[in-house]
Amino acid sequence: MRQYRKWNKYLLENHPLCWHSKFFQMSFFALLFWGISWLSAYLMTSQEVLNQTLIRNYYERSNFYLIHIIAVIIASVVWALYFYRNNPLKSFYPIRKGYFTKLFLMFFVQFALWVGANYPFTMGARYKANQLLHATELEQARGELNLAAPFMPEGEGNYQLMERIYPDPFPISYSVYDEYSEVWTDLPDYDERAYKSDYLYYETDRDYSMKQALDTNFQVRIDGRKYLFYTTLEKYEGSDSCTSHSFFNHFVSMDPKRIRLHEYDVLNYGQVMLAPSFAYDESYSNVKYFQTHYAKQIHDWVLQKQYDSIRRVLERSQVFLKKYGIAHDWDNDVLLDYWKRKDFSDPGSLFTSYRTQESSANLKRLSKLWMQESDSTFFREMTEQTPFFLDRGALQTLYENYDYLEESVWKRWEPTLFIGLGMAWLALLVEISGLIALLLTIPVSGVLIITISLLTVVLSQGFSDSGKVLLTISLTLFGIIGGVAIWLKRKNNVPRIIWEISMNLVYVMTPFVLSMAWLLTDLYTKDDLFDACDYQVRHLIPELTPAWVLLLATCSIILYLPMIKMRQAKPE
Amino acid sequence: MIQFQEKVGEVRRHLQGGDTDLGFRRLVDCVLDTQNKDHYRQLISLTDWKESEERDVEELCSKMIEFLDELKKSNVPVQQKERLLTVHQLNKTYSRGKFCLGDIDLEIRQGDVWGLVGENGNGKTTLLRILARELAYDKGTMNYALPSGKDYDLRSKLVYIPQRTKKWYGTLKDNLKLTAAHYGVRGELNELLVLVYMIRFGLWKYRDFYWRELSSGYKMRFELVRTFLRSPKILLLDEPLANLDVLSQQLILDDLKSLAQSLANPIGIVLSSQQLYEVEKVSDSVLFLKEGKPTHLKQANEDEVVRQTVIELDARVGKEELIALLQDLNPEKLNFNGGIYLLTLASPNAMGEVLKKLVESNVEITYIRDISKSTRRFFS
Repeated sequence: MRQYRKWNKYLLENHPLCWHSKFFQMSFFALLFWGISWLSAYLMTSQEVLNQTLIRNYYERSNFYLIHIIAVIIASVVWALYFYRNNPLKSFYPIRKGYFTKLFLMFFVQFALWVGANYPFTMGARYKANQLLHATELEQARGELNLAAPFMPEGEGNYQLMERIYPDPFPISYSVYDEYSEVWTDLPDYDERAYKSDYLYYETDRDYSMKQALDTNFQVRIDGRKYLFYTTLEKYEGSDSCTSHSFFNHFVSMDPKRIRLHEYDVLNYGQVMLAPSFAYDESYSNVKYFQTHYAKQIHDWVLQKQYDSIRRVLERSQVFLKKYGIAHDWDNDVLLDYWKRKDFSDPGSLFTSYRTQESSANLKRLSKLWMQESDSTFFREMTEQTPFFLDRGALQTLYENYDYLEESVWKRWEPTLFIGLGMAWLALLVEISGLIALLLTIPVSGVLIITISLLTVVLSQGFSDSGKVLLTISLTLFGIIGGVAIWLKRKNNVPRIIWEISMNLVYVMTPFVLSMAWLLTDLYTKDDLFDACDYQVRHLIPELTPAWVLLLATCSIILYLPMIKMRQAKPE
Repeated sequence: MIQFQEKVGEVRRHLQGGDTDLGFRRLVDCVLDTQNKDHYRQLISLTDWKESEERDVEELCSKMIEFLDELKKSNVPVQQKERLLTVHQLNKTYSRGKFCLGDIDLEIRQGDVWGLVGENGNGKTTLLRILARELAYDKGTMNYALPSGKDYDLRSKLVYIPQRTKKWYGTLKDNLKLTAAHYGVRGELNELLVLVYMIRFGLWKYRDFYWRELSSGYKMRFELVRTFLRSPKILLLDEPLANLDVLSQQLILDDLKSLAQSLANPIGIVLSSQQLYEVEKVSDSVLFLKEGKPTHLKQANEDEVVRQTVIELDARVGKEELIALLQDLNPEKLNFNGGIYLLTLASPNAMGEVLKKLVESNVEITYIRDISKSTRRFFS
């Protein structure tokens, strides 16, 4: 305490700004909260948590964010009570060069530290995860689980046969359709709603896999045949989706004499792995991973009917699942007996009968067969007598958590820095503005924003390129407000309150105006480049990413700083 | 240099004459004039010794004289008293209430104390706020002869203390140190200077007090210390005596006068007050405002030509009887406001004769004052 007093005295006598802003105290307590956050996560994280919750989302799921929010509010209020009590600007103390820049940066750092206490939480959880998950074991088990996967039960319920897909020589499913409408409308249980994007994610019908097509965004002719790609929102987001093109190119590059993959098949192909790699973002990459590491081995086992090998990986998988607390329950004898009886053929492989040259009638047949097989007596009896159960979700969560240990915790930096910047921005506004003017600025800003929005909508009616027009009109209106504010500042007979509100508005608007101006410049200067399989956008100025918005907002505040002394010194 | 030695000599005389308190305050002024950290340290240690327990006056005096002898050796450069502000034909009109202030003419120089008097609602605060650049004026000119032309920097050199000062938080000493630090007084000097000013304004014992623990008078002293730490060029005080007792009023005014005329850092002071006599006593110039108009202006170093005698009188005598008693002196006017008589005589310097008449007539006098040169006579 004595040392603290000495240090505090030193700050007061030599660095009044640091002393007054309580920067070090705020940062210290923020870091202390980081410690609490880390420790909480460390203590709360258990094997069960790792199986049920993704660590990257654990901060939200554990409700620690509520404690965090409360802590930030308390810290900010206590700090504000100390800080705003003594205002050097309003007391006309000399403001040295760089005073407001330092003040703003200190605000930014201290608030960002407080807001960023979710990072140590995730770090704490990761640290514990590192202790609980043994890399060698998990890597070894990953291979075994993936090899065992095609022969295991699926889903959380009883053994489900849907979505079962096998690699060659049991051809994976594929679908190539010549005409969009002809295919889907011919389905016996055709429901228009199923093709609309809104319903896509909520469709649980067993025919879901067949109904996923949404739009015909892409088509290509190969050997005189027109291929239409039925896309899902998950995969293709629009015509400028670059992801789609990688698949598209892949499709084209495949041997046309062999079977080509449909997008949905690719997804399923990836899903066949029990322990996929979450280091990849796209399922497509997992397909490659599967092909490289496991496909050949599985083919060999199936072709050579190596039941012992299958049993071995199934047994090892059980040992691993037990150790890591993943709920599972199946009998290897029954399971292997099943595969023997079916000769590695299940309804999933019915897709093999469906060929490019076949008509849509085949699809109806396929659908019918699938349903019949699923309801077969054998299947019913088997699932009723023997519980085939594997908590596949828990296993995948565990592996996703394991793979996440390699990922940087700082990946999602934007929210923290934006909230930190916003708080610093607001804190500075409170510091420079009179209380009444500040309170009046809020409704005035609201009214102005609504007015500008309405005016922009009205004025942009009839223009085809609405994005540019909307931005241009908004910017013009903001410019007019800024101009009026500066004009008011120069007038002597304007009541101070009006003048001060107008200057507050300039302060509030500037970050948005700069960002909008940047966006507009980008819109006018960018080039859209198309070719057969590729779509690119060439930007003359950097794209308006969160990092740029952050930089522009910071610049706008720093640009405003010289105005502060001027506005404060103006007589009433 | 010589002026400083004279100042030290004067302090010595105060001490030798037994005016220990006054002598001590003047001693602090001398220490401040030297702007020497060693002297600050010595003063602080002397005060600490003095305040730690009841001390023998003689011992204290001898220590102070010893200190004075050391101070006497200091070389204190004397600042030229330059013009700080010139106001010419200044006007301000409020649309509401139709109040109009002006035309105001005044010139403030370093070391000047200007008294601003007038009844309530006659524009004293408005004028002070205009001088402090808080309020804009309509007409006239106001030229500050201060180094910085920029508004904010200019305002950092004008210190305006309003009637109702704002609440502050934390300890008294921390607040003062923060102010000094903002004004570039850093490191050890910060601590020393703050303590010296606290000694000067009698706040030594209260250095760790909070705002709520101080009386109104000490809050005003705090404001004054804070003000002097800012090294102002012009100090504008609105009713600084309002919350002070009679003794404190005299002390504060005396302190202000003394500090305004500091050899090292003379400042200009404008203060408004209802304590007419006290203000007049210390002011070099007095501006009287009536309904916004400066009806009288007494310039510094200028002897006013008095053409009549005005006397304030409280005595156990009826109005008729009093008129009869003073018949020979040819009174022009005798007003009674319920408590005090206000007697106006056509001839100047007639105080002696009035007093003689009253004494001869065995009138019991409670209070009598010649206000012929005081702005009090303009209050009706």
